[in-house]
Amino acid sequence: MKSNKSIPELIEEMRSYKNTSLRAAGRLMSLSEESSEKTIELLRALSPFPEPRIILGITGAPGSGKSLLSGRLIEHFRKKYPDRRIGIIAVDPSSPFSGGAILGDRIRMMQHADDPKVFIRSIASHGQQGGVTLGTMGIISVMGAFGCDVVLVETVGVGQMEFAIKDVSDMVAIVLAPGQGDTMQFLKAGLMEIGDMFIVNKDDQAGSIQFYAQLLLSLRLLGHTAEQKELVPRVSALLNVGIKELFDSIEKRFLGNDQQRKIFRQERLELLVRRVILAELQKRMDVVLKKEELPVTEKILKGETSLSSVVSDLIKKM
Amino acid sequence: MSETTEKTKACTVRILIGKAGLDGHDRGAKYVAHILRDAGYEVIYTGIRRSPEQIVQSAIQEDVDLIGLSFLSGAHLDLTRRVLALLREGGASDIIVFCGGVIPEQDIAALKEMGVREVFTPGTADTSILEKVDALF
Repeated sequence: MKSNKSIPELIEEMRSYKNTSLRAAGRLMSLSEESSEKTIELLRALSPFPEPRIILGITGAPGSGKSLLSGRLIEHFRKKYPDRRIGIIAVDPSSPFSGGAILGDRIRMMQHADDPKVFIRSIASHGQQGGVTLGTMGIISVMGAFGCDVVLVETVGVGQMEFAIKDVSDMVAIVLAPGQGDTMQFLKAGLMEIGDMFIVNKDDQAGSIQFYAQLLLSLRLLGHTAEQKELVPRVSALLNVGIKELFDSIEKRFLGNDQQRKIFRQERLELLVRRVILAELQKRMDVVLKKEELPVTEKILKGETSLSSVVSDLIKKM
Repeated sequence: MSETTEKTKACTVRILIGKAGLDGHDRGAKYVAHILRDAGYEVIYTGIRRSPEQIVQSAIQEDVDLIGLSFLSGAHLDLTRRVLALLREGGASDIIVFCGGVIPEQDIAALKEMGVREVFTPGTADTSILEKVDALF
């Protein structure tokens, strides 16, 4: 069975960069996913160590080419900075029926699977459990402490209710491809509002220019005007075109822009506080509800008391 | 209540299913990946033609509990030996390894001697695979 090393022991082992460091990093990430208490303990223990320079969220509809694009970004990063590490977190949906999952995003990045400077971690979205965001924050911190300069967080753009990519990333890039609808689609898609960058992938395909033009039009309507072109890069992950320019413009938003990064992270810290409070309150609520002799619903249905008074009584007990 | 506990337990068990070596036949591997998913496991599938190094680094990064190796090529003895050696080098010999595929009867003992915990040959019923995998950890 798995070792029961403590968090500080595992951090020390990870940061010693021996042959067992990778194992220690992997274990720490699992602990981060285990429970919110573990994540908080982990975040505290990791606070003296560096954070990633860039945390980039990559999302988009299934089939838009996110994984291949991530693979290209890894390739480019490893060429540009041969000594630096990069981390990738690939989020896949869990089955709402069995709770199981097939985490297959790795397949598109397998050429990097024996590169010791590329750390790929797959996580399942776990349907109802709201803890994914917090657990992911912990995994990002482990990657930072392990020396990852850049972290990519990749997820499908559907079913965002349980996994808010914006909550864990400094900036979110939405990957789009020609054939994915027209101006009206852009206008109604809620996903479009969380994007900081809109990547037109599959630029080698027919209809790409029209698609790009429609997208620009929509974004102007949404009020994005400044640096418009850089925020809507055209790439072809398949043909490996435009990747360098894309990475440069991502870096430009971070390089020497400590102020901006500080704002990003401060916002996220605030969010973290909220998540921890919610997780803690939820636990207390479960305890209080379990202690009640009669199911609360029964009291209300019998007419003995009102919903609002039951709620306020229960809150007092928490 | 016990059902939920059971589910959560299975939910946190992670299995890597991989095909090592020059072998393009992945129907069995994918089938096993699906039945494991449907039983509530988190399955990481690596795709075909992977090196033992790629499989082991993936397994360690993903912190899986089990590795399932699928073979048709006939190279199961050498490749499995290499996978087990790399796991030991990486301080991960506690990850349980099982094999499946076209593996001659006489090699099963050799694989188990190396440290492979279970070997599934063609025709094994899905229920039998699930039962045996469930008993491994």
